[in-house]
Amino acid sequence: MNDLTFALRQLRKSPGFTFVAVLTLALGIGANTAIFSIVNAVLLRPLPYPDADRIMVLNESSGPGQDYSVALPDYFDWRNENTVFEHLAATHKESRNLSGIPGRDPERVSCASVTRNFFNIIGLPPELGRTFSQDEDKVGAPPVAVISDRVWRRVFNADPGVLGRSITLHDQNYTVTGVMPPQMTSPQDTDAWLSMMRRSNNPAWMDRSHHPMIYVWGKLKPGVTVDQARTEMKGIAARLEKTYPDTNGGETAVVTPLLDNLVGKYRTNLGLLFGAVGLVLLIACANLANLFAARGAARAREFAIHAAVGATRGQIIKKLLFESFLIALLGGALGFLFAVWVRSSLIALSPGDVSRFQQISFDLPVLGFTFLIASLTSVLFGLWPAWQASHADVQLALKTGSAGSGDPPSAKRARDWLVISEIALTLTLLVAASLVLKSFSKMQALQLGYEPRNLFSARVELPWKTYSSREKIGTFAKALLDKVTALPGVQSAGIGSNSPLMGGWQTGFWRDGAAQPTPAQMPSSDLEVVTGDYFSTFKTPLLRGRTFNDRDTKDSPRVVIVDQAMAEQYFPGEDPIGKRLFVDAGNDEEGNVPSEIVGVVARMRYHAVDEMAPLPLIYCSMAQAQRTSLCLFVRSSMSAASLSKSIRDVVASIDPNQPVFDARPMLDRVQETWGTHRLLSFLFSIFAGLALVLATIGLYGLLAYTTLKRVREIGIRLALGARPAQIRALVLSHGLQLLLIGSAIGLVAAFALSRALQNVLFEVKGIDPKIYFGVGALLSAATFFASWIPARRASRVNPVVAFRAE
Amino acid sequence: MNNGSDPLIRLSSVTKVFLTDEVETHALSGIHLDIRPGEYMSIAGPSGCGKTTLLSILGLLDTPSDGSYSLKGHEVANLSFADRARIRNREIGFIFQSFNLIGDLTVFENVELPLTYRGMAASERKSFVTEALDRVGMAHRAKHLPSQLSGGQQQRVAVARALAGRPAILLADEPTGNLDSRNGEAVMQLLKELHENGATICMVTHDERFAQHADRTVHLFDGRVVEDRMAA
Repeated sequence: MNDLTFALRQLRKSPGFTFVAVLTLALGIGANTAIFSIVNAVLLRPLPYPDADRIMVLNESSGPGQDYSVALPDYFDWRNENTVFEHLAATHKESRNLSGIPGRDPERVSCASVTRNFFNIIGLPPELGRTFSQDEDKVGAPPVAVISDRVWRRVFNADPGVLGRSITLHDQNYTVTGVMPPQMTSPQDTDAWLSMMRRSNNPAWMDRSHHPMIYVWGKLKPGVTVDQARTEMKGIAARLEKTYPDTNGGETAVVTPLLDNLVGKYRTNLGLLFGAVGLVLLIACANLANLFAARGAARAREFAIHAAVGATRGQIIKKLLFESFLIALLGGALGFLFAVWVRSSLIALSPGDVSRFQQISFDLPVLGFTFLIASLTSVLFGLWPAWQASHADVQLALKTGSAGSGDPPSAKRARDWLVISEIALTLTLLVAASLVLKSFSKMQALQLGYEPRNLFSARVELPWKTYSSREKIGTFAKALLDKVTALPGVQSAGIGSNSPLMGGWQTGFWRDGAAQPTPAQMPSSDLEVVTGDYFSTFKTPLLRGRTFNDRDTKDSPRVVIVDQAMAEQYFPGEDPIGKRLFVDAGNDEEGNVPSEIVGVVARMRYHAVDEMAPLPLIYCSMAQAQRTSLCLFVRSSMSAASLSKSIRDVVASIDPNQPVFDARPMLDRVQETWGTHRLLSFLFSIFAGLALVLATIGLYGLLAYTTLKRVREIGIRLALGARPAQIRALVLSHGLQLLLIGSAIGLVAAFALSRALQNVLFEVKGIDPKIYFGVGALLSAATFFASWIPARRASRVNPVVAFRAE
Repeated sequence: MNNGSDPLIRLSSVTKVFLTDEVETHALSGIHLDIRPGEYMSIAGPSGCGKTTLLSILGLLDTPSDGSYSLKGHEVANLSFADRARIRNREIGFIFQSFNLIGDLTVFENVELPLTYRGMAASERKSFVTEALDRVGMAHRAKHLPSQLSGGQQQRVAVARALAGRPAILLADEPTGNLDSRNGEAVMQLLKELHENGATICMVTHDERFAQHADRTVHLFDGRVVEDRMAA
């Protein structure tokens, strides 16, 4: 009989044991496979571009957390001076209305103005037609567009005749020259690529102090490392800083691999999850090792017979490893199915705004990973028990005719340490899960400075060609607000342009009376341009002064409202009302204009939980600051669906060419900022719960097994006069000992992990005594629960067993 | 030996019935037995005659199905498990055939064990244990583990453990069963010395030679006392 047949027969002989072992492993491997499928989809799977690891994204920065876009003149200098990039391209994302397609309503599409060499960086040829020519990527060139496969199929029904057709984007006609293949979505889900250099004579773009949301992409020359590129780009930035100290003071260039740029911020969280789920698997392995060791001890006579008839230790180990490998394979297969089963739940819990999370699949690498960890675990939990069984005292086992008179002290200690390690790992996971859960609950309870519930938002991008003046925009905005406010169930409405959780816009300012700072020293603030009942719609209280009114017009003196943070930071101990700031409201060629502060409102957390370095906030009136990118806010108790439809109808009634997009409750946007934390806290809780169950089972198993092995000893103790309570205490104290040692080790590990977690925690300290106390209480309860049944069973041993011969 | 004093133990009409697979097995039937202080009694009989069952009941490890059991004048047949444990700890010392020392504990700790369950203070325990080990000549092995001792030595330690709590009676179950004849004889000599110093001993044996060491031999057959004979 070969080892495989023998192993199969042994597992069939003990279906209960096989079931428990396979299930334990399926949970551990399944959880690991599920998390690996996320890690694989998000972090490991290569981008669908040739030599994608050589593609870099570049931006400017004035320090950690102070990243911003690139001034176009800086891009030109980078492009001319660097020696490390094969190509260096500029990109500018924008949203435009696609209209003029017969039979289709206008719709919003995501566009990117790019320099022509952007396509060289991506390295994918168009599936149809061509990209821009040299002549089409310069000032004064005819407008051309390359469209995405998605738009080609959705809008043009995959018509090959689309080449040469004219499409209208923001009331400007473009000729389609090519269609990119489906995998080309950069940058950020783009539907149409337009020539950037056509617009490079824009005076605002040519201002070196202006960072107009241009990001630079580069492809490293073969053999050049990221570090080499970083060093050279920092050198170039330092030279620019010397040459242009007023605009480039304190600025440097940041080079980030594209994959890191897309998903780098998830690396820590996914790493933590992977670590946590790895711990769960270790606990499962420790349980199985104990289970196999107990089974091995019970089969000591069987192995002694094998040895007596000539089996070597290696042959006995091999036999047992076959059994553990079969269990691991079955557990792996079941775990894989389990992971496939929870895929849709994982996607639902993942951050919705990152497409790679939606691409979780169970492909060959995931299958390979499952097989690999199944194989590894079979050795992890199978080798030690097999080694032990192969070293059993043959004479003793044969003589006693049973499992043996007792396990050697080393085996007992090893089993104890397995459970101690389970307790330590579980405590670590429980502390981590509690910290993450507390952090998540803090996020949910975060005071945003406005009330996101019953607040609906919808966006409209007005084409600047048609809406070329403040009057035209004002007319549209007023009509929109009047009609929306008149809708049944609507309490109030307002419009903003750079609204919370929608990117933001920063500007420089200084106090009237102070000398004008250089651009490099200019203080920054967030800038929001508003009209209508913006503050009351947000339920953001006005603390002093007034809000904007009809007397604030294009021709009246400039007025601004500031937030509490601005008042406290720049007017400490003063009343800011009536004071003046020089503010650049973003009107073309206007620059910083003295503006009187007429009101102070409470502080809004513009970026919610993602607010790294909060800036003060200045509000301008839309009558005095021209904006075509509008976001309508409506406070209403109406359902999102009916409100969305009503708003679309209202907009269509004012200008049928303007699509409404991104219409959804504000609460959705707030919840989106929690996406990763929600995934993290949910999965951490699941893993910690799983760990607790496994450790409890492990402790129970050990104590039950030990009690079984000690029946005779317990009988003797009872015969000598031990009372049942004393026997219970004996077993309970064993569990307590393991708990204390495991907890001490677990505490050290939890402290260390808490420090690592600190970066992902929100308003929670890694060392939280309440959490440690709570986890300790929970673990103690679990230990008592796991110990009580064996303790009770031990106290009921019939002392007559003391008379029985061994 | 009947010295005419009140019995230490009195069994009246004790029966023990085991129910297995709906079959009643009468292990003991109508046992009447008195054991007086200072008596050295052996219980003999063939295998399966009920010797060990009788010893279990005498040692309060088991309860009779019927009948009464009086220890030092107190009825103990129907006490709770915990109460029987308490009495067993104070009044009864066990010597087992297979020694039943606990392998993880040293000689000293094994002998100390019943005193620990009694809740005795550590200093007092030490003096009791030392005295018991001295009596069996094993004080020099106090720190050894049972596995480091010979069978005869292990049984001497087991005797010390039985003696340590100064019980009213020593119950010995085939105390020589796992020993060679030389060690067996030595243990019997030890019991004899204990008896001569006043100990009450009740010993189960199927070896006629060892049964003769006792003053009185009770023969069991099929769960009944078929002979109760005083030594000549």
